[in-house]
Amino acid sequence: MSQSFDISKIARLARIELREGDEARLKDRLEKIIGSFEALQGVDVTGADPLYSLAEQSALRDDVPEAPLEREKILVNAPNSYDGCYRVGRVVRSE
Amino acid sequence: MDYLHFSRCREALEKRSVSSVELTRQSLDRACASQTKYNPYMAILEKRALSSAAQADARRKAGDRAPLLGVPVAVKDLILVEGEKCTASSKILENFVAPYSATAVDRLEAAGAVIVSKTALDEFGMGSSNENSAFGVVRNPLDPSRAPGGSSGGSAAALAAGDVSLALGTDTGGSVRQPAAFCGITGLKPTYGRVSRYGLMAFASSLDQIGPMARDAEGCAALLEAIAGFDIHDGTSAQAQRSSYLQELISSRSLDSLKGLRVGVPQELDGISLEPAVAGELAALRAHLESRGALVTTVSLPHFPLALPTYYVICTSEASSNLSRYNGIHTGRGASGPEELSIEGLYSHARGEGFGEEVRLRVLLGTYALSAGYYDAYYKRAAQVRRLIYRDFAQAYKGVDVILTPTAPESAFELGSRTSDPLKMYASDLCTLPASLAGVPAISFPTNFTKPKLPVGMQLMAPWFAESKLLQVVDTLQRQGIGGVV
Repeated sequence: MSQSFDISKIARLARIELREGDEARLKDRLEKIIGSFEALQGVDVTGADPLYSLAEQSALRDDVPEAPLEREKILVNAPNSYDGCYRVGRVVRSE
Repeated sequence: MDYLHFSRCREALEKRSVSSVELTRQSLDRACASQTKYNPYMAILEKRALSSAAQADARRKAGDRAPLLGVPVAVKDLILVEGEKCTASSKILENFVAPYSATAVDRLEAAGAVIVSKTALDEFGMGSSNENSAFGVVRNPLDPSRAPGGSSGGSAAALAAGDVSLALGTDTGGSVRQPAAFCGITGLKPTYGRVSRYGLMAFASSLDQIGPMARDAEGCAALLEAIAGFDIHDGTSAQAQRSSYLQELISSRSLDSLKGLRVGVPQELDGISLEPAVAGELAALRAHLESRGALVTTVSLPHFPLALPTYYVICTSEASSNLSRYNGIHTGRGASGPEELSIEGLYSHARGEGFGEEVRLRVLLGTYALSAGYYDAYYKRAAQVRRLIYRDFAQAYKGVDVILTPTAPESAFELGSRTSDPLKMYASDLCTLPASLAGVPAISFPTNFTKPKLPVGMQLMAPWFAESKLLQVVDTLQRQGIGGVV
C-alpha cells in the first residue's frame, strides 16, 4: 500500500510547504511508520463497529445565544488585520 | 520544610504558618532557578501569581478553607489561561494570546489555586521526550542528561524540581503518565470525558484528556476534584457524577484498600522488552501487593500489541484535521507578505515554516491515512481495532478491579538517543496507549523496591470513571513508603 506514497501530493493536500531536504527525509520516516501500520491489515475485525468517539452522547447545549468572544481579543492574534477584519492577499485574480 | 509538597503546603497554609504570597514567592524563585538549568517553562507568570496569592490570602482570612486555596500550580502550555500566551511549544503560536481560559483553569482559579507558570511540552503534545519543541529541550531535573519524558515533560520537571505543588498535564497517548514515570512523580489520566477539554488546544480529540500531576496521589486527588465534572462547552464531556476525590481518599485510609484487591497483569507484557530495572520493580510490586492481601492474576488483553499502530493512525488522522486551523491568517507569525502569495500559498508557507518536524510528519501521515482510497484501510480499520481493544478491557474488568503494567518499558533515556528513529521513540508509549484508546483512567506512580538508579513508574488502570479506586490504591502504597513518598 505504501508503494504509491507520493509525498508531494500529500504535502499539497495537507497545505504544508516542504522545506529543502524535507522530501527525502520525511518520506523515509513516513514509509517506516506506514510500514508498521500494516500489522492492522491482518486483524479479524468482523463484527467490530468502528470506535470513533468515546463520548456517551453528543452533549449539545440549548440553542440560546451567548455573548461571543470580543473581536479585539481574537484579532490580536492575527498577523494581518484591517478595520476589524482579517486581511489576506487577493483571492480572485483579474485576467 | 518543603512547603511545595501539596499535603504539607496545604497544612502550613491552613495553620497560617505561611501565607500564599510567601509560598508563591518561593515557588517563583525556584522556577527562575530551574529555568536556567532545565528549561521547563514557557512562561513564569509572576504578576498574575502574586495577585492570585494575595486574593487567596484574603479569602482564607475571611474563613475560606478550600483545599487548593493559595496553592501554587503549573499549567501545561497547551491549556488556555486568559490573557497569557499559549504557544503549544510551537513557532506557529509563539505570539498567541489566549482569548479565554480553559474550563479546567477557570475551575482551578475559582478554587483559589495560584497559577504560577506555563510549562513546556513537545509541540502540540506530539512527543515522548520534550525534544520536539521550538523553544529548546527540557531536561530531567533528576539527571539533566536525560529526557523528562513527554509530552507533559515541563510539568513533570517542574514538580521534580520542587517548584510547584501541583501541575496540569495533558495525556493523549501517555503524555501525563510517561513523564510522571521519568521524573519520579504521580500522574493521572482521567477517564475520557471526565475533565472538560474546552480551552485545551486539540491534538487528537477522541483521546485528549487534561490530567493532574503531583508528588503523590493525594495531590492528584485534590487537583482532579477541582477540575473534573460536566461542562456544557465540551460536547464530549461526561455527565457522570464527579466524586469528592480528596475526601474519599482521606476517608479510605481507615480501610485496607489492598486487601482483596483483584489485580490483573496482562500476559501480553511478555511480548514487550522491559529494561531490567523496570521488570524488577514490576515483580517486586506484584510481590508486595500479594503480601498485603491483594489477589494478583494474569489477564489477557489480546489486542494490546496492536495499540501502537492503532493509536498512530487515529491520532495522526485527528491531528491533521485539528491542526488545519493553524493557517497563518487567524494566528501565526505573518512571516510573508500576503500580497505576494496566493491564499493557498500563504497557508502552506505559514504551516511549513511554523510547524516543527514531528508535527509536519504527523499531519502528513494523518492526511495520507484520511485520503481517498486509504481511509477504509487505515482510519476505519484502526477504529475497528480500537473497538476490539475497548472490548478487551471490558472483558478483563469482569475478573479484576485494576490492571497493572509498568508505565513505560524503560526509565528516562538520554536526550538525543531516540530522535532519529520515530518508531523507537513511539515504543516508549507501548504500555500507556491501550488505556488511552479504551478511554479508561490510568495512574502512574513511582516505585523503588530495588533502588533503581533512575525513577521507574508503574501504571494501574481502572474501569471507566473509577479514578477514586486508583487514587486510593496508590495513596495506600505511598503511605506504606512505596516510591519513597510518605
